[in-house]
Formats: sequence, structure tokens, C-alpha cells
Amino acid sequence: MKAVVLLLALLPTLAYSHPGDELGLQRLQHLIETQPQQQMLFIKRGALYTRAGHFSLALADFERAQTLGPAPAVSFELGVYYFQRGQMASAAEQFDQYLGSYGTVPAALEYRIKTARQLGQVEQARDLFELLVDQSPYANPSHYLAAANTEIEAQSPLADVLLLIDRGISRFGPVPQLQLVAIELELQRGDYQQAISRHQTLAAATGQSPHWLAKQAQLLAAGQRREEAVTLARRALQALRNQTSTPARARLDKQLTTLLTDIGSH
Amino acid sequence: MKAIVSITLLCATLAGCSNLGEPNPGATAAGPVQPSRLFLQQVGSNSAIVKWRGAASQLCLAPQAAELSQSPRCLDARDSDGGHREVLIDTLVADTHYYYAIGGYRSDSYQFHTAPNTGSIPADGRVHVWLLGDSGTATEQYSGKYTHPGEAQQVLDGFLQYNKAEGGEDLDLILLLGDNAYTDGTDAQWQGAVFDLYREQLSSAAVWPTIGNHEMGVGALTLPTGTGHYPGASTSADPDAYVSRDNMSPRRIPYLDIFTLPTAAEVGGVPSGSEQYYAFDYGNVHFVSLDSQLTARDDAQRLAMKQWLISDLSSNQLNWTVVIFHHPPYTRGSHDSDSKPASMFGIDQPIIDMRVEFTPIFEDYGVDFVYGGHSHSYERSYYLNGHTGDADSFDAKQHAELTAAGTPALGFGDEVYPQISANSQQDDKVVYTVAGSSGKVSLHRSGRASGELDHPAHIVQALDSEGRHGLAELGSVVLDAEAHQLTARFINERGEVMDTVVIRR
Repeated sequence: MKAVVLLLALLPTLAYSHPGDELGLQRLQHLIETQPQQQMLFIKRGALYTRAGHFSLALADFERAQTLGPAPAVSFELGVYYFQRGQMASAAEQFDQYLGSYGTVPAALEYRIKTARQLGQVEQARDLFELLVDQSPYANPSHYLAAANTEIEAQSPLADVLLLIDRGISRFGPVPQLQLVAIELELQRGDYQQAISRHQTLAAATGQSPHWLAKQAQLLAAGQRREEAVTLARRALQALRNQTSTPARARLDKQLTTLLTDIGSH
Repeated sequence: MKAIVSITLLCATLAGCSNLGEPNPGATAAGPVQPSRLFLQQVGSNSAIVKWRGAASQLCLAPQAAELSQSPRCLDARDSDGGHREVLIDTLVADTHYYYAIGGYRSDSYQFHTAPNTGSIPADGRVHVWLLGDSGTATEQYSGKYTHPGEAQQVLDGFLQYNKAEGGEDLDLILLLGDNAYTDGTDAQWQGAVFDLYREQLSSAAVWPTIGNHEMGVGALTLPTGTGHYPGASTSADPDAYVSRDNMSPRRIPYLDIFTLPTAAEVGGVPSGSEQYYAFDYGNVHFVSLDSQLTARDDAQRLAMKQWLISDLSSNQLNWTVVIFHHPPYTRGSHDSDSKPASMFGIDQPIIDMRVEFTPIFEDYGVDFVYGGHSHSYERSYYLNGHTGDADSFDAKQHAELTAAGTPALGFGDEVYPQISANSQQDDKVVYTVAGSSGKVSLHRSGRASGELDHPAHIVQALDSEGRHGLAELGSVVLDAEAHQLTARFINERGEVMDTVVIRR
């Protein structure tokens, strides 16, 4: 579901890091020396090589793994390898093989949806998404973000992307993971009013906290609704200064002060 | 919550209470039958969920025990996942006591107290919470032998002894820190390790869990001795990829079938849309349960959880904030939080990711206490800020709250922690606690003979015979939240207080 990273990257507070791959590689190399017939070790090392962009080493490991055990066991990671290399037809073939052998494994389905998108198989991608979501009552907001991301990668109209996110919102309610991304997309297409309306749906859940008030003020300011923005920004500042000081609140205080200055009301 | 005078019923069951909702499907010719498991979920200020397994299909409720046999309010249960039945009771009154019966069956412990209104202090002055980490050893067997027989029971007994000595205050909440049903988190193991052992406590206080590695069954692991499937070794992020030693067919993790957890802020907080991580309010305390076992293993899901956490914490305005998740950011017990050992095999990768990505958020948004388990010992940190590296990068002068003398403050006596740091003048510090010895103590760590309990971010425990930064003792944590003070105590299996930490506001 790494594709969601792209969508979430729209949000300014997020960063991505995943330390430990190098150490894992060292460990695997040691194990492979002692157990050179273990298929899983080659699959795992190939996956790490793929993540690191060492594609020729990765392919060599996957080909070796195919000789040591059932080929479908290699299919998922080999599919990811092809996906990362942009070889979508080969990737789709591998994911199909994996799904055929192991059932509707969500991670494989997600990649299969992405490959379908890349191959221009729009309807198939949507059908697969239905399958993924319908398969698990425990689907979570991330699944909808992943699907939305495939739409973005396929350069679908933003309206289609928002439609997918709204399906998630319809299922889970206006959870911030989905609604904040939708707001950023609304801003991207210049629909400030819709961004403001979407953010309004988070008012109850957030108790109109200073952070909510501040974000709403920023959106109103962006939408040229200056007076409302000033009112909310002042409310946010007042509420903020009655609360225990945390680093996040201190930052917000500065942002609000800047906002009020920028719109000429401080 | 003050002690409630235990009602003495003439009969353990309400046999003959024919007005407890007719007909009574839970009753047999011999009378009402005790549910095989029963527990409370999502007890808020005006609603609660009672969940059980058994034939009974109705719950009856009254504000007085005597009213149960006269004019109870009876509600039909709905079937829920995993063969459970549950009743959502609404229109309850805040900070109020209720008695209940299930299918006509009644026990002295079938009573609960609703939460005070959000932001309020309970009438008795404090929220009383019990935390259990890695407690699931009542069902832990390897090669057909119980490996820690009776040890979880000892911890329970120690808690009861302590609690009785302190006045017998009823629990408001029970927090499970993961690995509460060894070895594979099967439904049967949940029964033996949790629902049988803590039967009385679970019928009178709401339980709030988080997912540990052993809740996710077994995972494939390659060791120098060979490849096999080992309990607690799953690195999957998919709750439908659960397998156990007795059944290798992938299926849903039993945890999600057992518990009914908030997804839509049913008990406060911001809606998460997932039972795997959630928040709730109880009086003046905001609680957050994160998923370091499944959600944290997938980059995108972890980012989504992080975004939700920021939204949730930035909306929180309660006095205190407590976060739980299984994999501790700082430990040197049976697991090591340093990046080299923690990244080995991938099993403990969440330790690193939670430390690097989540501790800065806790500190930014005023979290007070963070609890985990995983290591089977007790370790409690100084009042920390900004320590995201390995143990050797810890610098007390940079990362810990300091006393006027420049030494790291210990959190008790004359060195209790002010919620607003005296050093930074902000609420930017957090106490991190590993409480993973509620079912066993072990210091064994792969590649070493034993864990050293030597993480420098943890305080040196004065009562440890070897003067280590932790305690190799069975025990659990009791947390008490008052208006101006948050106190946590580690209670060993003899009911002795082995460590105390206080934050004041």
C-alpha cells in the first residue's frame, strides 16, 4: 500500500523513514551462506534489493528462489520488482499468479489494482478494488487512500479521485485520514468552498479545537472570506492561550499570528 | 471510583427472577447459565457495551441490585463476530452505578460504573486504571508443557492485595498492552488467559486492548538452525493473514472478532475508521491505543495512523493523555530497542518506527504517559524529550527533565515531574514505561545470555537488587488520574509498590 504515501505526502506534517534495511540485508547474507537452499531467504533478500533499487541483484535472487521452491511463492515480490521497474504487464502476470495460488491477499490485490491502472485497465482496477474492499469487513481508510492514489497515478480527473475518497468517507464517516487529503485535493483544483465545507465536517469530531479553528481560518482566508477567517483565527488564538503550552500549540500560535498579519488584522 | 459495598445476594443466580425479561433463552432446566465469557466495552458517560458468549440473548439492567428482580430495563442482544453477543446500552447517567444480569444469570461482579462527563473528575476524585502487559501466560505451552504456570494469577493476586490494602477501590478501566493470550492469540487462548483469569474484573470494568505480536499468531522465521513458524514472529500488516500453530489457514486475527472497539469516536476522541487504533475519553483522561503490530508494519498505513494521531491529539483538551501500544520505543530487556537488534528478522522493526516517527508527536502534543510491553520486565523512563536514537545516543542533559542540581529528575519524592517542564516551560515531555511482566519475567535476548536492563533513558530502580535500569519482577501497573496529579505505580506479585512516578499540573 505504499502508493498511499504519495497521497499522504500532500499533508505537510508527514515524513517517511524506514531504517533497518541495511542491517536486515547483512543478516540475510549471513543466513544464506549457512542455508543456501532456503527459498524464503532469497525472496526476502530480493525484496530488500528491490527496495534499495539494486534490480539486477534482486532479479538474480528471485530467479534463484524459483529453483528452490514453488514458483508462486516468489510471485508477489517478483511482481513488486517488475512494478518498480515499470514493467506492468510482467508485474500483472506475477500478481495474478500469486492471487491465483494464495487467494485474495490484500497487499497483492492492491498492487494488482495499481498495475491495472498503469496498463489503462480502468474498469478492471475498479472491479478489483470492489473485490478488495468487499473481501474484508476490516478494510480501513488506508485502502481508500490506496485506491485514490492509483487514480492519481493514472492521471484520472481529480473528481474521480475525490469520488473514491468519498466512498471511504461514506463508509467510515469523515475520518481525518481521508478528509484532510480530500481537502488538499479540493485546494489543488481551486475549489475553496468545497475545501471549507469538507473541513466543516471535522468540526464535531475535533470539538472545534484551536487546531481545527486555525485550519478553517486558513481555508477561509484562501477562499477570500477574510472576515470569517479573522474571526476564527482570533477565536483560535484566544482558545489556544487558555490551554497548556505544548510545542504544537506554540507553533500554531505563531502560524495564527502570521495569518492575522498577512490578512491585515493584527 | 470508591469501593462499592458488595451486595450479598441470597442466590448467586437470580433463579426465580421470572420478570428479568421473558422468555429467558439463557436459562436451562437447572436455571440461568453463566456466560462462558463476559466483558465490558466502551463504557462511557452515557453508554456501555456488555459482550458475552453463551446462550443468553438478553441483558437486564438496574441502578440498584434489588431492582433487578423488580423493574429492570431489559435489552435484546445482537449477534456479533466470533460467536459473541453484545448489547449497547444507551441513555445511561454519567458517573452512576448499574447492576446487570445476563439471561437471568447474576453475579456479584455484574455491576459497573459509568464514566463521568468528559472533562470532569469522577465523584470519588480519580480515575483508577489497571494495566497488564504480556500477561497471557496462563495458556502458554511449548512442547505440551505450561512454561509459566500460575504466574499471571500471582500478578492478579498481587494487584488485588495492593488494591485491598489501599481501600478496595473499584477499577474504572483495564488496559491490555498486548501479548495477553499466549502463544498464538487464538480464541481459546484468549479464553484461558484473559476471560477465565480476570472474570470478575472484566465484568465490572471496561477493557481496552492493543495488538501485540502474539495476538497475530505465528510467522515464518529463518534462524541459523533452520526455518519454521514461530509464535509472535508474524511481520504481516494484514489482519486477515493470521495463522496459528494449530491451523495454518490464513484467517482473521481473533482479536478483531473478540473486541468491539470504537471506530467513530463513540466514546470521545477523533474517529479512526479502524478498530486497530482508536481513542477514547474517560473523565479527565484521553486514552489512545495505537497499533504497532499490524498498521505500523505497512508504510502507508503507518502514515495514515500518524495523521490520525496528530488530528486526535491536536483536538484533545483533557487534563491527561495516556497512549498504549505494544512495542516499546526504549527497552533493554527481553527485547532491545537499538536499531541493529530491533531490525533483525523484522519482528521488532515497529520498535524503531514507533520511536523515530511517533515519539516526536507524543512530545509535540502533550502526551503524559506511554505504555508498552513486549519485553518481559518493568522499565520506566525519565521525563523525556527528543530521544529518537539508539541507547548510546541518550544524553540526560539533552533528553531528560533535570533537577535544579542538573541531574535527571526521577519522578517521585521531591522530583515529581511538572506537566509543564521546568526546563522548557512547555508540556513537551513524556514518561515511557515497559510493563511486560504481567505473566512472566524473562531477560533472554537473542544473541545474548540475558537482557541487561541497562537502557540509560530508564531510571535506575532503587529496589532492584542489582541496581539496574529496570525490574526483573512479575507485576502490573496501576494508574490513578486526579485533577492535578497523575500517578503510576508498579505493583509486584506480592502487592508491593516497586516504583512510583508522578506528573503534576
